[in-house]
Amino acid sequence: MAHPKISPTGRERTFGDDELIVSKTDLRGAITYANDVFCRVSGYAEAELLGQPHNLIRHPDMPACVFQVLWDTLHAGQEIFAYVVNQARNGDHYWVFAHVTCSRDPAGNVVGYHSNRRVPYADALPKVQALYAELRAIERSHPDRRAGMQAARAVLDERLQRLGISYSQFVFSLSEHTRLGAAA
Amino acid sequence: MTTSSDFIAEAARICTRAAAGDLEARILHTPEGSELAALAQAINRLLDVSDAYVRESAAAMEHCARGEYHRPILLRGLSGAYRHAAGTINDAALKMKSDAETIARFEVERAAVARRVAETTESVMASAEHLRTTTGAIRTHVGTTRQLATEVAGAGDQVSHNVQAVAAACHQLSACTSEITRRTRESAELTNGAVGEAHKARTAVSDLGEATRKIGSVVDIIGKIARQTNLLALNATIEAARAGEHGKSFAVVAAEVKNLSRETAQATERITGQIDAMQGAAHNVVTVIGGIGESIQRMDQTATAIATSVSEQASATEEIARRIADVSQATKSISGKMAEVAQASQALEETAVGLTTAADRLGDNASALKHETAALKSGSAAPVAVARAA
Ligand SMILES: Cc1cc2nc3c(=O)[nH]c(=O)nc-3n(C[C@H](O)[C@H](O)[C@H](O)COP(=O)(O)O)c2cc1C
Repeated sequence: MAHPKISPTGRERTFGDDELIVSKTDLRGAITYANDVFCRVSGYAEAELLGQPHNLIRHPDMPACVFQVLWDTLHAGQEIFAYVVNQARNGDHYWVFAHVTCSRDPAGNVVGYHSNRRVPYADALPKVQALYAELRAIERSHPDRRAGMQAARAVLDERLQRLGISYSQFVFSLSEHTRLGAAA
Repeated sequence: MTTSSDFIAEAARICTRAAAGDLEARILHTPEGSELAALAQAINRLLDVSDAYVRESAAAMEHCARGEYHRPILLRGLSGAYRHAAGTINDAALKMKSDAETIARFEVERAAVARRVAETTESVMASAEHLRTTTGAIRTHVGTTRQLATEVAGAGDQVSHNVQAVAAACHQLSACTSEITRRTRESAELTNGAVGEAHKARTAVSDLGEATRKIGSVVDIIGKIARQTNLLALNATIEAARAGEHGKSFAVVAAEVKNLSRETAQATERITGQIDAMQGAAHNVVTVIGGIGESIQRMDQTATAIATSVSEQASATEEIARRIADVSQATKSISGKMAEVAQASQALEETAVGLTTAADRLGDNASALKHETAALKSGSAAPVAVARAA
């Protein structure tokens, strides 16, 4: 939160299909590890990332309610997949398909969190962008940040309920490549 | 990390932890651009991909274990053996999914079958119970039937016996009436003969009357002749008297003739009287004979009526005898049939006993089946998870 506000450039950055952007955080979401791909794509040096809250790379187009779902899921001890647009150090943006999980000690206690990010599946992106734009608009329409997030979350939940599927099923349904049996 | 030996020690420590299954640690703070930095990056990449593979495969399998098949391992970002292994796991998951779907389908069918079996079992149990009750009732009825049949067969024998006696009596009666008929016919013939005789007697009496009447007329002629003779004798006497002596002998003759005619007149009078008496007697005889004839005719009519009624009675008796013979035959055959019924009832009773045993066994089997299908119907916890996947 303490970092200076970066203006989006509108330029998109990409990374390799065979690459993983990896980061780890402590229980509060402060970065404890970022791999070389993370550093390269985000434009931050390792030293600039370690100890920083993960919202360092948060892009203003990301709906807050998606991160709320992320944290709710992690606190429930479960994995979560999410399409996320991140902001590089210079204001460029890059889309990822993030997989966030708990890290546990041998006793099974959650000791931190872990995230792998892949190149997102192209056929899912237009749907994700439309949804996020809608959710973000709802959030922005509320003067109170929290109220806006809750309103957008309600819309998201209501949509999932109407579809009769879980958030996880919804995320995997967005691309042909994330269906079981597809050569993903 | 200041010195290279510090770095190597840290790298060795992290690799040892990773080998022990702790994929959390990474080599941090390596100075950029150095050879050690390249090694650190390579070690971190190895750990990252191993970490990613382990997290992904575990999570994917967790979903499968929960019966959720929407989450494959994402192959993107995994290469070589990791990618191949992930593909193998996905194939297995796909197979699990189709198996789960098959199981879910079977589960639905099994539940339906179990329900149908349970329903059928219930109805079989009800049928068995009903069968048991029914066979019980049959046994009671059959027992009663057998007893009745035996009694009827006994009574039939008695009836047959009595009927035979009646038949014998009828035959006797029939023989008697034949004798009566014969005698009646004989007496009718005799009567007819008597009627003929009476008729002849009346004719004879009539003839006698005629002859008597003819005799009467002859007697009348004789009487007339006697009166004329007397008149002539009287005249002769008068003439003789006139002729005196000359006429004396003549007078004697005339007197004699006069006596004779007087006697003749007297005799004819007596004959006439006797003829009248005879005619009266003959008339009486005719009347009597007529009465006898009527009596005989009435007797004849009566005898004929008797003969008719006796012959009717005879034929009626014969008819009765025939009917009784038929009844006797029928009764005998009823007795025979009743014996058969009694025998059949016994067999039926034995069958009913068998049927009761079968019904009992059926009921037991149905109970056992119900017990078995209860387990089948309740199923296991697995179908719930399977149902979610469908
Ligand atoms: C392991 C992990 C990885 C995360 N990765 C990202 C990320 O790539 N981009 C991002 O915007 N937020 C990420 N977050 C979420 C942030 O912690 C934060 O919740 C989010 O940026 C929203 O920021 P805000 O809570 O300040 O609104 C991550 C969280 C965890 C635990």
